Amino acid sequence: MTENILCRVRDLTKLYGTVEAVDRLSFDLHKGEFISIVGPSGAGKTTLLRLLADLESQDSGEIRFSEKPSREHPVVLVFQDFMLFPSMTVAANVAFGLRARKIRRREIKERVAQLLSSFGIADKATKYPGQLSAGQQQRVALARALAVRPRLLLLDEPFAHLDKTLKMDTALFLRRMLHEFGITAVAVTHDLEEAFAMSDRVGIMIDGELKQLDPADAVYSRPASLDVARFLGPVSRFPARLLDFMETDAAVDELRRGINGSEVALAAPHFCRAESMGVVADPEGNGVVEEVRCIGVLVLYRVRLSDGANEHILNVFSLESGLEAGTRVRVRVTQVFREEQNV
Amino acid sequence: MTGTPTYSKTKGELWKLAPLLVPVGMMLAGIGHTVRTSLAPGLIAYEAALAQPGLFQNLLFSLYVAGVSTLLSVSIGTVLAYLIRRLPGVYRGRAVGFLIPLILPHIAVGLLILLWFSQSGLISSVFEYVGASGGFRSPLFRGDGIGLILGYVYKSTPFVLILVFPILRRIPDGYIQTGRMLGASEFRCFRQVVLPRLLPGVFSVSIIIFVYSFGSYDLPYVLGESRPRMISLYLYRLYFSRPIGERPIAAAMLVLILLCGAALVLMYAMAVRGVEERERRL
Amino acid sequence: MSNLRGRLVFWSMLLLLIVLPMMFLVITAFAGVWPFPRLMPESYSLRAWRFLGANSQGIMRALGSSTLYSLGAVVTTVLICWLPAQYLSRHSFRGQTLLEAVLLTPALVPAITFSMGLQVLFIGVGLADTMMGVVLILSLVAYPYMLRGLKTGYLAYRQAYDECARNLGAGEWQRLRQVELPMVLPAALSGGSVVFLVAFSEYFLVFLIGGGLVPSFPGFLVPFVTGSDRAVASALTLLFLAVPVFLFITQELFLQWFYRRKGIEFR
Repeated sequence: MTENILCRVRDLTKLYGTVEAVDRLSFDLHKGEFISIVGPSGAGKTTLLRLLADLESQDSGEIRFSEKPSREHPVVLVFQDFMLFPSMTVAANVAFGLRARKIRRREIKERVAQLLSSFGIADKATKYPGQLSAGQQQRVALARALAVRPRLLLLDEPFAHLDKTLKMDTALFLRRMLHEFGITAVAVTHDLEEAFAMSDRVGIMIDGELKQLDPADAVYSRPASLDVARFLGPVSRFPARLLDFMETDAAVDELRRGINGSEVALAAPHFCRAESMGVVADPEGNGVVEEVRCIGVLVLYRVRLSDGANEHILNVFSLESGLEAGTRVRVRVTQVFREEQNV
Repeated sequence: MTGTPTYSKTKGELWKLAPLLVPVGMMLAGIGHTVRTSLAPGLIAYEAALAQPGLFQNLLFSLYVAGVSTLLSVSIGTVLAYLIRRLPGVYRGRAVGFLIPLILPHIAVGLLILLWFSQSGLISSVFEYVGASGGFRSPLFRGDGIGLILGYVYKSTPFVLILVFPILRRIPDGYIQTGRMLGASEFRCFRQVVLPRLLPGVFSVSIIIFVYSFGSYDLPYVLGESRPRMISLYLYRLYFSRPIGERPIAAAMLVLILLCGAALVLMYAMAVRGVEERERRL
Repeated sequence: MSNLRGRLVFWSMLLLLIVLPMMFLVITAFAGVWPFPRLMPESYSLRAWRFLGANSQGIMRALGSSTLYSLGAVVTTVLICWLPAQYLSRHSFRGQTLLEAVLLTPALVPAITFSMGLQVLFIGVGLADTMMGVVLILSLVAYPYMLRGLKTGYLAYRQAYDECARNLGAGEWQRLRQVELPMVLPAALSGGSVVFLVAFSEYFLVFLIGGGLVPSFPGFLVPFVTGSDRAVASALTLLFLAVPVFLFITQELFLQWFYRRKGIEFR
């Protein structure tokens, strides 16, 4: 095994009844890396975590660690609901795993105090979980997990209980803490932006399969397949011949060369993410802006484009909000998918 | 993951059921001894038991007392629970008062009945005081079991209350309010919306109360009428007071009662399954 | 329900079923001369209470013995039921409903059917006429309530807590003591109250197995109830009520202290 790989997962499969909750999953996890697995609910993300945590046994495939998790360095899962023991103080919760390991009282006390102060909750040591906010509870749960010096840390939906405004701060806090402690971690979540912001690599899991595992920018700018693209945001659908009325780059041109001139090939459905298209005002352009909607940082343009016979509506994201409805535009495209296959 | 028991890593903990062997073993030993005693001379004891003149009379009397007590305490307890459910939340605390008879032992409930209903009791005094014509004839010790029924109802009603109230609490307010808004009367609401969900629970409570009223010894000992007599007193006398040679007869009767009890256990299992399936569907 | 009518029914039932009988019990306990058919005593006296004082030794012995074997039954039923309740709440298997119904048998068949045979067997093994024998027979009739209570407690307890504790490396004992115990305790205590009440107010079984050698408060009370001294019987009944009431208040205060203080919702 390569030196810096902590864990190899190969063909990991778990069935519930006849349904594959996790379907032939394979990936390598590097030491000190922070991976997020993102996907719609029911995609098998939590099952994957439970398999990694050894709370479930797989039906086939294997999880092989280069250094076996041990009592001194276990795999620890932080549950979605944190599972803080309600009858114990914050300090006792953090000490829980250490007490299971017959560590001397004084050392436990020191380690707990140190962790609480790194997590900024030293003043809550004698409080009970029921008296804390969700954000504070999460910090306690993290401190409790890190106390046992895990070989691998697993986070199940770390943002599920947090307010929208807290999520991004927490994601960045998580990233900072894990780097500081040198912890290898896998998180599953359905909060896309937070996953992108905090992780070294992002995996997209759909229907039990890991569709893509790449650095965040790569996943965002070059989704590996149509279903990944669909998961990431709105996708427009149009026939191949519409490409003749757009500005295309080299990669798309490559794809277009594969289209022969037959009527069937020209009518074959193609797909494009709103992020992969752009519009430029041009009185000679083929497109017309139908509608302009502000959706936050980006502006969504609904653009009408004719292929000579039929008109199509395309969803295009843009940073610029200068265009008004009725403006003629050129449409640029940088990535196009055919049915379930990428460029 | 839906519906899959996720405790897959803890299979093979069957040994954890082992402590139950203590009570189950004791019960089986007790029952076994009774059965052995009853079989001493073949089935003769059973024939003799069925030929005992007092048996059927006492059995019928016990069934009647237990049946009426159960019916009354279950009805009163259920209606009371519904009443408390419909009243504002503070009444739940006040309703703790209704649980006092639970703490009273049957012997003390017997005392209360005597204080109120005996010929020299409170009600008799009230009749005398207002000069009601004909005065008051105490319902106790008359052979119709009214004293026993009063005692059992007094003791069992709070028991129904504490078992039924939690079920009622799980019925969301919305159901009852919707029913009321659609114009159903309070009674119709109770009967059509609430009662169907209560029935399995009420049924299992009824069985417990029925069996206790049927077979317990304490209250009949205090309020007991000698003819007819509650089956528990009758069997106790037969078992211990008569010459030991007649003990198999008493044992045979116990076995017969036990068989009826086994039927009740099965009915109870079915009722519980009904409750659990219903809960699962909801 | 018009709230007013409901309240009226509530208060009149409380008055008729609870308040009046209890008041009447108190009045009777303090009655001096009370000729029939007067509604209230002609004079009041402390005679019944002085009688209790004069016989305090026997009363305390009976009260102490009853408390002791009742607490013994609570402890025994906890030991009998804890792990089985845990198992039954976490697993589902074929025939479980039937097994659980069979386990409730002592509550579903009259106690006379097995207790009289058991008494004869207890004589054989030297358990008859002993405190131990009484504790055992009372545990037998009362354990279904404990099993039920603990099972309810365990069903409310989320198994994820257990998984989380396992995942942090806690062994069976640490999980049981530090994680499960505090969370199942309220259910165990409410099961315990029922067991205590059943044991504490039982007359027949204690008399049958204890054979008069194990003193019991109901046994002490019986001759007064069947006799004619109503004042003493009432005073004894009031004294009888004091023990469980005291225990329940203690328990309630303990739960408040243990849970509310920590911001835990319980029940």
